[in-house]
Amino acid sequence: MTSKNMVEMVQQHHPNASETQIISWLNQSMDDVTDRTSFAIEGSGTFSTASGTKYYSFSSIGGVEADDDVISIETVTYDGKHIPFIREPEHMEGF
Amino acid sequence: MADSKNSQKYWWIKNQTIGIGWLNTAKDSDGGSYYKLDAVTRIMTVNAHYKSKLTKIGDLVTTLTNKLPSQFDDALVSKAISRGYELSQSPESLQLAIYWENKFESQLKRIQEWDNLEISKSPKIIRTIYPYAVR
Repeated sequence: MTSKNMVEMVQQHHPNASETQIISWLNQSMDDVTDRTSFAIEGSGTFSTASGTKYYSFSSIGGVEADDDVISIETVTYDGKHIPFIREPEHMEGF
Repeated sequence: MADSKNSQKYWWIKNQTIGIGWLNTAKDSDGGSYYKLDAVTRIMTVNAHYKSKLTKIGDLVTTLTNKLPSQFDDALVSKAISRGYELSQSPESLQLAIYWENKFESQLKRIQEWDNLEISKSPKIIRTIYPYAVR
């Protein structure tokens, strides 16, 4: 089914709603389904470190549009090598 | 102090950011030492493997190509119809909102069942107790 088909089905019930509004409702619905199932997209992207910078937003990862889109980070490589994950960093100095 | 090329780097998560750093040794006031997370000083490429939400609908020609059951599209439509009715204040519209919300819940349940089925799909091992396997 194309998004046009879906918009038309919704428009049958809400003829005064704009296409933009209906697409917004459909995308909110998609978030509802995503939150209550394990459906997700796997992807990988890169970013470059900067000297003295400790934190990099999710949206700085290539291919990620918004911070909210990321559900989890699975693995990270630095200079081509896998690096370990710190499980409870909040207990460490410099967090 | 700059991180050496060979110092072990680590990653962690804080408020929708990835922390990249290394463990620097610091001294406390008593002369004891402890580890401190410090930023890296080298410009290097980091590759992150992630899981993200499903791709949003951007325009009217988008076709949802995710490997999902057809109930998925139907559920999105039901929920969107429900949202439209929720915005209206009339009792009739609110009744319709409840109807479409219930329909969405029912479709979501079927999606969750399909989801669980997909997750549980794993190779079935048949142990050969006898010289030939009995299936």
